[in-house]
Amino acid sequence: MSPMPGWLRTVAPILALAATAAAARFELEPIASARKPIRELAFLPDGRTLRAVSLGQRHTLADYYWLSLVQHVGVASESKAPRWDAVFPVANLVTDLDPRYGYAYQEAGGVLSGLAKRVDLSDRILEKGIAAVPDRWQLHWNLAYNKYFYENDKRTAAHHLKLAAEVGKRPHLYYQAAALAMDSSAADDYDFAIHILEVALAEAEAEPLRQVIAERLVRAYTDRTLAAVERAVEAFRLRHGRPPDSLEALVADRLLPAVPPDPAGGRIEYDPKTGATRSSVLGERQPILKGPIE
Amino acid sequence: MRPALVVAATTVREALRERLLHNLLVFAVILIASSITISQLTVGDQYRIIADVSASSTQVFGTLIAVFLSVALISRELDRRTCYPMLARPIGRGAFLAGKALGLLAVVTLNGLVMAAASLATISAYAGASAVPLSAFAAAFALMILQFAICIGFAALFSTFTTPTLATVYTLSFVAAGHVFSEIRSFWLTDKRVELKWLVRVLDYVLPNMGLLDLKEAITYRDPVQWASLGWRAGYGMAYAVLLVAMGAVIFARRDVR
Repeated sequence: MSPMPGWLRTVAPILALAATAAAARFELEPIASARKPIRELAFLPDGRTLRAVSLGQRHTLADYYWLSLVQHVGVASESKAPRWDAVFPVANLVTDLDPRYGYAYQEAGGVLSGLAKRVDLSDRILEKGIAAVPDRWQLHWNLAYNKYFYENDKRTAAHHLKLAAEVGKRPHLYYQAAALAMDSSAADDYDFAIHILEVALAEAEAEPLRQVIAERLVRAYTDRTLAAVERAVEAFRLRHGRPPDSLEALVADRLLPAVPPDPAGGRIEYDPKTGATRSSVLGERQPILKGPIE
Repeated sequence: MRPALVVAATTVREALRERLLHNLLVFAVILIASSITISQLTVGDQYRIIADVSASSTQVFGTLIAVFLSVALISRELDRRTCYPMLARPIGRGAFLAGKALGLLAVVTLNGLVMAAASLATISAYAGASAVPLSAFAAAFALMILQFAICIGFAALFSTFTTPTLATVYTLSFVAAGHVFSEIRSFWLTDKRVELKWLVRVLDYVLPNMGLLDLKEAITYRDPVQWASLGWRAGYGMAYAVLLVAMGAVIFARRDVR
């Protein structure tokens, strides 16, 4: 048996080591690809301390924690049992590191109220943002949204809408704020709710939040349609002393221009015995301003 | 002046041959270019991530280059006594140290310009050239070069009386202390629980306030540049760096190098 050539004696161990490393790497692939969401809240450092020792890199640290938060929200929104308890502490840390990070206040505020159902924490992060970045109108707008939809506090909502209009130089928000302030006793102000939801949809960038707002918008369109049909049924009853037999009778009586389509994608149903109307997809009309979005 | 310029020219040639310089520069440029990929991890406001990562990479790698290159080219030379042939010529020790510092500043400035160009190209590739706040960008990078000048000043000062390892440790410690102190000084000065405020005042003037030379935030938020403030900041940085080199020259002139 001829002895192994010199070059092979050098290359063979290197190839063997490379093969071992590659095999181990292949085996470790699931661990390498595993997502690592933020779970250990106890290990989040204090924002002021971290800022002091950041050696001039507090913006990059804020970006690091912000990217972690975005990943966390993405994982949580796909989970069957989402946990949102990291959102506020991490958002607080990010904004301690960079108090001017307006976008972080805005998106964290939206996620906390819309997805985590923690309106109190959403209000806290938005109020912190308003104090630090007073010229960012979206923060006033988000706080007005919380006050209107989740806390039924129309007066404060109108105040923040007015500030949003002033700071952001957006006249249409003045109109909305005025409508809210003047009409604060009207429970079925669907036009106003739709205005707010449409602006919210245009401003939101996080996909899970956009989805929640879009669903709520369809609900508002549908309820506005049902409210219009209910008013027509009531007018028919007053005119004829009995409820109509069908929705077509409302059209024939010129109380409706046509049987309206269902914005939720189904059809508008009417029960002549009870006089009740409903969407075949979303059911009966729900009064607005009844707690957070479910 | 002429001998100092000759030493500076020699230092530039010597520094450009250092492999450490090339390695750190390549890492910095790769990190700056990869900021576009990093920014894809977030939703919205990606410009901010690119601007932050680019400016931070320049600052961190520029500081490391300034410190290690300075210690390598001044402290090592004194420690190994390779500077003796140069000092045997009709050249003052102060001019020698000033020339070394000047040459290093030229190299570090060149590095800073390369990293600034990489940052500008990366931000422009993402957001378009018109989206770059050019005046804030230029001001931030100019002040960053003055931060590097302070690093060179500390390295030159410590190189005159201690070993290369200790010179590196001392320089990095003072630069880090300058960053930390610029963040916590306001708290120390305003909080009633903190005593010895006079000591804080003294440290405030003794340590370099690196926060005053840090305008990265202006790039992130596209802040307008306050030219008067920029002038004072630049004056502060230059005076501090020159003071350190002058102190080093005084110590070096009295040192027995036999």
